[in-house]
Amino acid sequence: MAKKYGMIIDLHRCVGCGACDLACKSENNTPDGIDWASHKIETYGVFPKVTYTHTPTLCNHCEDAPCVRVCPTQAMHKNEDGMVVHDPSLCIGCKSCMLADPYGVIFFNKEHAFLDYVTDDSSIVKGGTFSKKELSDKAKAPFPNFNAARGAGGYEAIRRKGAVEKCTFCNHRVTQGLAPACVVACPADARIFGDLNDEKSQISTTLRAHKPTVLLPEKGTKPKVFYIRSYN
Amino acid sequence: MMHLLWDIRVSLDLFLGGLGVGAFLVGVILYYIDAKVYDTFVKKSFVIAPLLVIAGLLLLLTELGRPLNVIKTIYAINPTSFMSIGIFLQSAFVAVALLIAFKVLTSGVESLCSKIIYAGAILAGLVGLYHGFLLSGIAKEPWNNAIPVIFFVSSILSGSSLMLLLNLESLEGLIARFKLPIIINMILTLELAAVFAWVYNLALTTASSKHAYEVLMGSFGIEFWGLSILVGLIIPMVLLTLVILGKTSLKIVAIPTFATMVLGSFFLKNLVVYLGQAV
Repeated sequence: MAKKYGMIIDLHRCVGCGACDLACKSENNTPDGIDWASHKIETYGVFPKVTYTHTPTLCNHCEDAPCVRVCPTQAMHKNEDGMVVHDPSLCIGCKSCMLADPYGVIFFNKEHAFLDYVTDDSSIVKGGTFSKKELSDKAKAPFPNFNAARGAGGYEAIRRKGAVEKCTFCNHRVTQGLAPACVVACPADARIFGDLNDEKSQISTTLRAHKPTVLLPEKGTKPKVFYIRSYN
Repeated sequence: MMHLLWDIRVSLDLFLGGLGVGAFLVGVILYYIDAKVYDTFVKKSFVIAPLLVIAGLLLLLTELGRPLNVIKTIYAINPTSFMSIGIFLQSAFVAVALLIAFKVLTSGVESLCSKIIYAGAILAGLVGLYHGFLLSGIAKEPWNNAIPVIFFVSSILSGSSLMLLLNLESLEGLIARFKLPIIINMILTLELAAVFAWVYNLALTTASSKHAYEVLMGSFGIEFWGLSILVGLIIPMVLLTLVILGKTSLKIVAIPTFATMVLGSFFLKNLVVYLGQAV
């Protein structure tokens, strides 16, 4: 049976440290304003009876993905493992997917990401501090956190402007048998990633043990990112 | 300030494309009724129509992040995407409309083959509907299934108004033969009904659509009631009613009537494009 990857986020375990957000940025070199892994914080009530929720967010890799449905070039598509992935070489930058996405987890690259690391040769102290361009030249990488591993195998390590992008469940890692970067980085083991079609996998057994919730169930997109053990 | 993914260039594409479709269809109607009598009108319609659609498409191209990749839509077809299908429809319409325009300019209206006009009319109709389906396919609350009807009727109204403005000399003949004010008022009534059906649908269904309704009546109230409804539909309807009642002549009110209908079409389409992104 084909694999169908999904993720569980255990809200009892999540401490809201943001390590997942940072690990994603580090792994995928996402620039300012483009956060494939993020979180939302909502507060409720009136002081002194105030409570809040901290919800980590990422692409839900929906079974019935609206972004895939509306993409005019199949740039946004589902791969054989059920992940929603994006091919920037086909993207026309129409942003239909962003408008169709009810979760707000698809982003548009307005500018060449990290272009300043190639062009900016100004330094704070002339002759005393590195400019961004010097730094990348000396590091022999287009920008400091360039991830060559992600750049291999057809993925854009340096993303050019004019295309959309989003979380890929780190499929460049998954194809090598590794877990997504956010899962590895989580200090509380709050994230479980695996094959939903494998009844014995940890994700399947955990989903059977806990009643999961998903974001915006009323949208009918059948998300594959599940939340368990809400703390409210 | 509202964060827009699609700005005024998308509204202008839908507006100019609609004008082109409407202009072409009114040209087709007059061509089939009497191509000889309405020779100048038909000629202008068939020449202007593709130019308007192309102008809109060029504006849309500037909106895209990677416009050169549009060529890839030819082979990377997504049958579930209205935009993917629409690209083929618009290309086919522009090709047929340009061919007709070329023949009209070089050999005159009488040289046209009625089969190609018929093909052009079908494509124009489909493109006119596609403009609305492009939005409704995204499935945001204000971009629901009423939009294709609203946009199509708005395109007919604005396109025919533009052509009437450009053919004021043939107005008297059209009034005498077709009772033009009555026909236009009927179409204006249909558009008003479609717009109010859309608004009531927003107001009465899901929580999200109710929110869209509140934003429409709140932040977009002036654009909706003032520019789209009053300017675009009510004022021309009142002016045409005065003509029907014999209080004034169409010749006197023609310019304000048809100009407000063209403007109203833009305001309405622009409002819908922005509202969908505001909620």
